[in-house]
Amino acid sequence: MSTSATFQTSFWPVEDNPAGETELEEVEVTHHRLSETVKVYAIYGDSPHAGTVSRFPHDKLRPVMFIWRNREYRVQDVTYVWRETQGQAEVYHFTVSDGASVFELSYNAKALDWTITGTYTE
Amino acid sequence: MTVANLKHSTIANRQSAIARERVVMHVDMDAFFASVEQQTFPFLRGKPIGVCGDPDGRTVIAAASYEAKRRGVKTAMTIPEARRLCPDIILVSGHPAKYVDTSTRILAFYATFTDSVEVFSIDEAFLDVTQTAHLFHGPEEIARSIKAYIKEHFGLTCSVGIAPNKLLAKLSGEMHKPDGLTILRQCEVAALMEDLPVQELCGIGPRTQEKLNRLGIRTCGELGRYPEKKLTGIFGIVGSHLKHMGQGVDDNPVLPCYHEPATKSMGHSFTLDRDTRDPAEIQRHLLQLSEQVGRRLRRDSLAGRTVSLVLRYADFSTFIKQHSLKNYIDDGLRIYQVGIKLFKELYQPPRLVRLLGISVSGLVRDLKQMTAFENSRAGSLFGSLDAVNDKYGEFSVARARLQERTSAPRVISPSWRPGAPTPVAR
Repeated sequence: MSTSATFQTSFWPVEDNPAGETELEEVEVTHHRLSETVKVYAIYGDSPHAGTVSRFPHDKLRPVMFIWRNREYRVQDVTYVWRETQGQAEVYHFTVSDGASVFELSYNAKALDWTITGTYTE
Repeated sequence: MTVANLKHSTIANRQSAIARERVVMHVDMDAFFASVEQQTFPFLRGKPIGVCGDPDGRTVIAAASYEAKRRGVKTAMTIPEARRLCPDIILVSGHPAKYVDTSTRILAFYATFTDSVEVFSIDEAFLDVTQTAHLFHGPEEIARSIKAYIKEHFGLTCSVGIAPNKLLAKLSGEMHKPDGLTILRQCEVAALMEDLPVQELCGIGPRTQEKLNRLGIRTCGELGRYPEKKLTGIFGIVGSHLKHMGQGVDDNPVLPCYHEPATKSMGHSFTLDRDTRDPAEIQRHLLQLSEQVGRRLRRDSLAGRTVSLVLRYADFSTFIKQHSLKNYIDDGLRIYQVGIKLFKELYQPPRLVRLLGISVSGLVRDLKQMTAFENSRAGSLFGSLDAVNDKYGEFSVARARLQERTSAPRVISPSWRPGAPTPVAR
């Protein structure tokens, strides 16, 4: 029986050929998925901070330093910013670099808290 | 004819030609998902990367960076195949919410130039700037502004095609990638189409190409000259459209979201992490899919009365069955009850199930406002549950049976439009 229904297809297309499935090999980047509260120093405002460029449309908020596991990290570059809603909360995700590693920081604008959600080290 | 008359006539002709000629722009983000990941993670820049789904799941390459594309890696290629062509490819798990947010913001920028923006997909859009181009120093200047904005704010590039219609705008946009800007004027169309292979046109897939080739049609020029009667005899009403495509003619308007036709059906499908014949697992997946469909229906004030089930076995054989009800429904449990009935009718034990899908069609909008809602207690319960999930996120409150729900599938519908909820894995 046929139907005119259109199905929402998987965002990640699925392999059509089941033969030869393999696990993904590890790349040279070490990724740690985390969910830890972190203390972040950030600037807020319309004008870009001196010496920085306001690149993202919603980067009025910009992390400049954070303390995680008793160590201080100075943000050298904010490489990407995006926003998503989790229920009624707006969560801003910042991918930042301290020059050596890349960190993912999330700011929940409803709960007003910062979380470190991942680290990437080459 | 006097010189004055001739002058007047020429100006009138030009004005009429300008009035006739639409200015349509096609903007396509270059290797969108891969470029976003390269921008996010500096150590991926300049390297061949492939964005895919769950690394432990059964996914394929959803987007390849240009470095990987140059090595032959293409979208929808299997991971082993991509690895054969490009052994050093770096596979990256994608972030749908990031792409949705980026796309939404870019689309909002397009809307500053015209209200006629058609979202073709998450990384492609058409803009009709016929009426507004003069306000921004012409279409080329608009294209340059868009490219500059995307580069400056997201570090990404896009390719733009400007032409008299959507078909040609898309075609010209794809001529110079990445970071291209191609302008195709009406007077250049005939020459371009003459030797252009038919498969270069959006809408002519491998099957149509094969049929056309069998008729001796290989180029758009040949397609445009082919007798329309013969084409309609073979392709039906599409034949006439194909002839027009061969001539570079496309009268389809740029359709903003709010002009799009009403939704005909709403559904979800899910490829299981592993093939199964476990009834409990199958029931749980079906319930989860049904609840997702019910939630989307209620969010859009829709209800439907035809439930369809898709069942795919491990050998990829796929079966679809549907059942129409007397009453309209938007309740996940009711959808599930019909779905499980269809499953029992379709399923051939002991075959392994690979994919399940459920959809509701025959939709009506605002049914509850039109009729006295027959079960006000249920309606009020769903209203409360939906309010909690709106506030705290999907599946914050769910049926106890879905406690062990699958955290995949994060999906973006092909019909994704700005404002639609972001796929969330919960």
